[in-house]
Formats: sequence, structure tokens, C-alpha cells
Amino acid sequence: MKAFILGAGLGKRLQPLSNELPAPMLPILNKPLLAYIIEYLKRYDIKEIKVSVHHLPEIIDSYLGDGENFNLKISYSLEKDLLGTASALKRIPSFFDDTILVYFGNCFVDFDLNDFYYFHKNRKSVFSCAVVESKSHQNSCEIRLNRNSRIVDCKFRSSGGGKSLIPAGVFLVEKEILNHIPSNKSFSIETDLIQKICQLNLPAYAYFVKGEYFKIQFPKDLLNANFRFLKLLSAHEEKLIFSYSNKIHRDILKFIKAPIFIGSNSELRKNVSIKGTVIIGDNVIIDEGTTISNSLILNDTYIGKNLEIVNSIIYKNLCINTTNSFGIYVTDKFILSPNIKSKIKDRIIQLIFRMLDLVLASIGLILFFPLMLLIAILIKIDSKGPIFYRSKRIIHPLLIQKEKNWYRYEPEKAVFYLKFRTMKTEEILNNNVRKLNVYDEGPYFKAKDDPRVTRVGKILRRLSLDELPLLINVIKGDLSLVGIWGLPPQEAQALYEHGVSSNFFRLKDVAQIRFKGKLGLAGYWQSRGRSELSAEERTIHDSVQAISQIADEKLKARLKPYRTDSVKGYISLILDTIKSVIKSKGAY
Amino acid sequence: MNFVEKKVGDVLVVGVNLARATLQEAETFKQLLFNAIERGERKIVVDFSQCEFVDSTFLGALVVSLKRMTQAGGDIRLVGFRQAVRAMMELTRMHKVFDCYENVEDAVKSFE
Repeated sequence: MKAFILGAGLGKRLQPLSNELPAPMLPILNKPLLAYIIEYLKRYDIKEIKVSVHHLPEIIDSYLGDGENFNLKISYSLEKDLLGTASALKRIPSFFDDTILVYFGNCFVDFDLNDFYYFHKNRKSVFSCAVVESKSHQNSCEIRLNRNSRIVDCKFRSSGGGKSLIPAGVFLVEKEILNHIPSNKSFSIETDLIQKICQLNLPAYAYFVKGEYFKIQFPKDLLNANFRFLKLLSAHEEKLIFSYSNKIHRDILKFIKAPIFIGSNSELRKNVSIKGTVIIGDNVIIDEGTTISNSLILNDTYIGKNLEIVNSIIYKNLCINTTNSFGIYVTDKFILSPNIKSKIKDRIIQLIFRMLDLVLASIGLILFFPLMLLIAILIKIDSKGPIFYRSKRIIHPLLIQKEKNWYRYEPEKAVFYLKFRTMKTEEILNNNVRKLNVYDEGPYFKAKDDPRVTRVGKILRRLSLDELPLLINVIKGDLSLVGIWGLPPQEAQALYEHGVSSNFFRLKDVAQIRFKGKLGLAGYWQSRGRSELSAEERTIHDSVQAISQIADEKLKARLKPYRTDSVKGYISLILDTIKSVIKSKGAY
Repeated sequence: MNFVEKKVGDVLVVGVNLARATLQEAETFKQLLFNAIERGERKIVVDFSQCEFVDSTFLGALVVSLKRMTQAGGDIRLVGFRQAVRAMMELTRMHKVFDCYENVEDAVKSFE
């Protein structure tokens, strides 16, 4: 039997935690929920799994890969739009050969799968649903059965009391069910599909689960699931502290009361106090004097000094109070911050490129010095005003997000590019100039025959010589020789907020990716046509370049053909850009 | 042949027979898609199962073609990503722009 795990959802009720991790990757005792699901499926001899992904798919994909590490065959259904759980089945008809097991990626159920399978086959069921009895059912589907456990009705209930049967997130499905799922319309398994099956009077049955079951819908569910698993673990083993860390300060060790779980490479410093049940992930630092009670601290988090953390989930710079589900991103790195140290190998690579930047930029400056002197004199003769122009370029735009239960603020990060002045000082960007934009879609702006440009400026721009002083920025370390071309504030902010958009086509998520990258002089867009390219092509070039610089170890390995952090890639991008500059391609 | 065109019902399937789909072939590829849209194709599936690497120029050509196709009321769907290409599509969020399937069969069916 094959299994299909639904892992595409946005996890809206889990926000802001789900902004960082997709629901199946939320950790329980330091292991993603998905790992428990996979282990469970393997126990029942399932060898082929497909996972539907949409929200942060790379996190699931880089964990599971093609399944080699798990001795499984794993493939993915990349969903463009989230149309509903049943619609996800409709997308993969070729995956269905026999009966398929469908497993919701935010649930965990431990019961006898073989028995469920025989139950399904014996009754010649076309759709079987594992059910649990629930006392409180928020936002779930309530199932009604006849005496033979046949499903006769189902209703969606947003709230309510009293005992009822709800789906446990595990289903057995026959291929013919696909005929009853409409195309291009949002259709869920719970409610939509079950209701349709009841209407058509198809043989569908419910199987009672008597085993461990939980569903992670809200942040507090994650906390409770962790507490529950720690309780189970401590019941099986005598050890009361489950620690894989060797950096717990001696003084505090004697005060810690069990059970407590501490992952590997984590550090608890002097006078740290732990109360109640606490789970701490890998590579966490809890600094001096901080008190933590009944909380969950996820991987790679630094927690500052003398803080008190109660009933919370903390992840890098994100803090969620599980009592009221309110989350906040902390911008003060002394309170909360990601605890990510780059490896020595990475630091050496970074150093090599910094040295290359310094050497090449210095050589460039020495070679071009006489030319730059001449340009400076020409600018002074040609028009009134200074020789240089400081142009603000955005590394990351200002980010303010206010949602019902979370808040995020990140200040703008920018550098000032030093350029030769090419425009008359008194001219401003007005609507007449805006009309000259070579891009038919916003927000990028580049005018051909811009009336504000001086005579000397026109030549400098055509030959890209106005950018020469940027070599000083490179030496200062503001930007690298290879990287994404920095955008001015207005363009950057508009791109971040609206993407590249026209009435019928929009690239927003893709466009935002460029802000994850480093700025530089030479790059894909700079070497492949610059302003001759459309706004969409420019966006793709910049985003691909940003991703090819990414530092994550696992992703690096997967993105090998795209990497630009080889000396060869670095040099070839610089040469390509110089070639493009000499040809004056797309330079206005 | 770098690009192989095949008709399955009313769906045009374009196979990219290149281990590295890059700058050199991107313009030909773009013209091929533009011509197909011009002659009235509205359902196109592009098969990348032979490609270890698809560069940003090639991806750019795809997006420009998709824009043109969307304007004409059709769709371009992609199939057969190898590991690195899949990672790039996911990380750049291009999977939210293109409707992607694992194989030609599922993609052709999705047009029904």
C-alpha cells in the first residue's frame, strides 16, 4: 500500500509559528511530527509515500528528500493553490493503483493499521475513515454512523459540547473516489467529500481508534503534545532528565526537577532556573539568570539574560504565549535571536571571497584611477553640483505586519552606493519622467533618454562608468563584487509589498526572495541584458541568485548545480558582467 | 533535437532534452513557446525530466511565456523536476506561479 501525506496547509491557526515551519515539521521532543508519521507508516511496511506541499515546501523536502535516508521512495505533489484536501487527491491520479492511505500531516494516530486495512477490505468500502471520540470539537467535522459503522452523515461544527465522533486524520481511499471530486474547485475530505459519498450512498465506513491521537491545530496543542510525549518517555525510562547536552552549568543541575528534555549542543548558563515541564531543542543557549517554566524552546534559539518565560513557545526571535496564542517577533538580539553559528568551512569560504573582493576591487581602483580623475573633472565642467552621488539601496525593506494574534516589526536595512553624479541636481522624478520607464510593469524603474541626465552623465551611464566608485563600497564591505543589484527605497518597498504585478499576472512571493540575498555588482541580471529584460525576467534572475547564495548546509547540497560560491562561478559572473557592460546591453 | 513536441489530445507536451537548460537554448525555447501560443495552443505541458539544471534565463523565458499564455486564457504546466530543479522551484516560490505535476500523465489529466 502507498501513503499520501497532506502537508501543504498554511496552518493559519498555528500562526505565527507556522510562518517559520510547516505544521508537519513542528517538533515533538525535538523530532518533527512528520518523523513520527513516517516511522509509523514504515512499521506497517509502507514503502512508497507522496507528500503534498505548498507552504514552505523546501523545509519538508530537505528533511525527507527522495527518501533514501529513510529507506523509502518519497515523491512530492507541489501544489500551486490550496484547493482543499480532497482536491489534493485529484491532482495525483497516477499515484493510485490500489487502495491509498491518506494521512493528515498535522495529526498523529497510533493504531493497528493492518486491522484498519482488513476492516476496509472486508466491508468492500470505497472510503474508510479512522474516527475518535471527542468531547470538545472546535472546527471539526462530526460524523454520524448507522449500527454497522457505515457513515451516513457528516456536519461541520465550529464549536460545541457533548461527545461526538470526529475524523482522526487517517483514511483509506479507493481510486474510484476521484470521480466524485470536482476539478478546479476547493473540495475537502472532511465534510465536502464525506457528504458527497453519503449523498451517493457509496459504501463508506468509520473505524474506531483506540490509541494515541492528537491533532496540532493551535500552538497550545504543540505544547501539550510535547508534554504528553515526555510523560510517555519518562514512564518508560528511569532517567528523569533526557539530556544530550554537556553544557549545563553545574550549579543548576542539582536544582532541575524532572522530567525535562534537553537536546544536543544546548547550553544552560549560570543561575538558570527550570520549573515545571520544559523541552529544549538542539543548539539552544539560555543565558544567565533566566527562568523558564512549562515551555517549549525550539532549535537554534538564543534566550537572553534575566528573563522569565512562562507557558510559551520560543523559536529563534519568535515568542508565542500559548495561553492566549499571541505571538511576537523580537527585534532585540539580546533578548531573543537565532543562535546560528556558521561552520569553520563556511567562514573560510566567506573569507576567501572577501579577500577576492578586496584584491580585485583594489586592482580595479588603481587601474581606473586616472579615468576616474578625468570623469570627476568632466562632471565639474559639465554641470553644477558635486562629483559623487550617494544612492540609498535596500538590503531588506521595512516590515510591519499586524495580524489578529501576532505582530512583526523589522527595521529597514540599507547601504549607500557611491556613484558619479549623472543628473542635474535640481531635477526631480516627476510623472513625465515616470512615463519613460522601460519596464511596462512596476515597480522597477529605468528611463531611456531620461531628461534629468547631464551630457557627461549620458555617456557615463551608457558605458556604466558612473558605477566605478562602487569599488570603494566593495572595499568598505557594503557589498560584494558578486551579488544582486541593490534597489532604491521606493522600488524595493513596492516590490516587497506588491511584487511585480499587472492585471492578470503577479509575482509577489517570488519577488520577495531577492531580499534574502547579498547585494553585489556582478550577477545574473547584470550580465544577461539588464534593462533589456522584462520585469518578470529580472525578478527571476534576482531570486535565483539570492537562493544560490543560501547558507543552509542541506540546501547547499541539493542546490549544487546552482551554487555561485565557487571561485569559478564568481569569476565567470564577473567576466560575464564585464562583457555585458562592454556591449552596453540594456544600459541607459 | 533539444526540444521535442508531442500532442496528447488537445495538450501540447514539450520535452526539454537538455541535461543543462541554459542561456544558449533559452531564446529558442522562448520562441518555441511563443509560436505555440500564437498558433492557438492553450494547454501546454513542459517536461523537465531530462534536466539536471535549469538556469535563471530559462526560468525567465518560462515566466514570460506563462504571462503571455495567461493573457490568452490558457496555461503552461510543468512536470518532471529533478532534485536541484525542484529545490530551486520551491525556494524561489515559483511553485506558486506554475502548476506543477510529477509526470506528464497527471499534468495532461489536470487539463480535463
